[in-house]
Amino acid sequence: MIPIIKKELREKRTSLMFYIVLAIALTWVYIVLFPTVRDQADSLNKLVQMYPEALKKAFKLEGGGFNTIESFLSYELFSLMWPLLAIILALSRAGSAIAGEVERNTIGTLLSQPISRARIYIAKLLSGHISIILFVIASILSPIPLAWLYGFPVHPRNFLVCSILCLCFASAVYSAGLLGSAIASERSKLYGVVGGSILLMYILNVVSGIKPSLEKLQYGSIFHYFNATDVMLHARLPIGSCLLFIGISVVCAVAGAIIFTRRDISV
Amino acid sequence: MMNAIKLQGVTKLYPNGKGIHDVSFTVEKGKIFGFLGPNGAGKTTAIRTMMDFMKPSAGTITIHGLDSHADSVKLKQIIGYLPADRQLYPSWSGEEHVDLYAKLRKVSPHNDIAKRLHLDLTQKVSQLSTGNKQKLALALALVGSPKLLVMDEPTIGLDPIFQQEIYEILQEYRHTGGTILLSSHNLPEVEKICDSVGIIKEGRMVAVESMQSIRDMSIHIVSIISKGILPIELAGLSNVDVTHINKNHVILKVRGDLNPLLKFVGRHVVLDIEITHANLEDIFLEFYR
Repeated sequence: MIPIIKKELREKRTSLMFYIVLAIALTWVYIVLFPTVRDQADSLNKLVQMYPEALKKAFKLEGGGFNTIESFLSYELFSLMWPLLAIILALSRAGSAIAGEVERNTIGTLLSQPISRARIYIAKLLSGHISIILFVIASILSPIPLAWLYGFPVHPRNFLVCSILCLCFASAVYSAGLLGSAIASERSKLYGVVGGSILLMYILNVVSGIKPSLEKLQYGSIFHYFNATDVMLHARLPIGSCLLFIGISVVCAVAGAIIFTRRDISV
Repeated sequence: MMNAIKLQGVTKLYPNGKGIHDVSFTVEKGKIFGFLGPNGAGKTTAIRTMMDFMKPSAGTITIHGLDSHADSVKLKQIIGYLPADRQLYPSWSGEEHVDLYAKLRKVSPHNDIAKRLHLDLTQKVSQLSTGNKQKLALALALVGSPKLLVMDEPTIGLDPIFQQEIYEILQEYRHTGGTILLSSHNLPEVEKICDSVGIIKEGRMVAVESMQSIRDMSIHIVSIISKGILPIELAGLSNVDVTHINKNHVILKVRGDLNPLLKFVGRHVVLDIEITHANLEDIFLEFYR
């Protein structure tokens, strides 16, 4: 199993490195912009306060502001940009892990070796999680040294707690993606179905916040449970959300392993 | 002699109804078995079920006494597999491939075959020619000295010199007790190196014969040059097919008794006549008439 994990990481090291550097660069840009935003904090906060309540709820613009680095990043980075980056990374990793290998016929290389399909699946699951952990560390924890570098006051605990929620979220998306990858024989189908489902859940979350009559739809969206803004502001770990994401991750991993071990593969 | 491979009533159908039906054959240990059939006949499907890439809907596959599905991991330790489309990672070098195979098989990555085939393992697969990719795939199939080689078109893309080298490697492997199942379109190749052949047609085995029985089959190719045009159609022989005719030169395929033809030919002036046993290609085509 270890050789397959190493193989996976070695194959994807360049793209992962690029992605991590990109995430850190994006965070750096926000850190550099922070003094300008902080100087305008009062007017920006007033502007946000004037937004309709439903819109603030939908985009998680409640309770924070532009006065601290934590609240600024929670608005700018964690409300949309970070989940988007995490979803792209998780789905691309999951897609190439199995469906991509089936598409390129290289899965036959692994299937013809003395290793069970379950172990191949676990190796793919673990290597994907290693990529996600590295991305989470780089993207969520990099603001701490960067803020210190620019002399801004920062609360590392908030970032640490947020990284746990973000890790659980990305893990759930990756495991769901890998489940789709175990079923599909083409990446495009996986991206279409899983990516489309995630987009639908995002729309549900936004719509449920805007239209009170559709409020209950929010419970069907993983974005409802991903309130990184609140975590960044108060350093409180939402145990329920984390357990839900871990549950999704475990269920998808088990289902994916069962499907992968039983399916026919035409290579 | 114990069987290395035994397929019994193996059926695997695709949703479109194609696939293999009730396929049975055995391959003895230490023998080379040629698996013949045109594209879409079911060779690859049979190989996929043997390799446990697909589960048969009926029947059993036993390899070295082990079940191909239940004992899949154990079996893959003793099977070297060379797929038709090579299944290599384009951005990897040959060394990286050998290293991965060796680690998964828990053997030394030392590879004599690569050296013998003058293959540069440091080059990336994407930079290799078709022939060199094939050599790498063959070298990988032999990592860990497997007891059984399952090979789909092993010499495709290789020049005649390296084809010869491959035949020698396969013969040496057979002499060390190894068994080979070789799927091929190259009938002279099969005739040259195989001990027995199985012919599959539209998903069903139509023949499983030793190469000697194939040679002993009473099919002859008769080439006649006569004085004037030989009116072979007047002979009314149902066991004779005209495969070539050009003025006074006619080539015939004769199934069974040659004497009626010879009697008919004896009534004409013959300048030259040559009678040979049909080769595997002629016999193969016979099954596909």
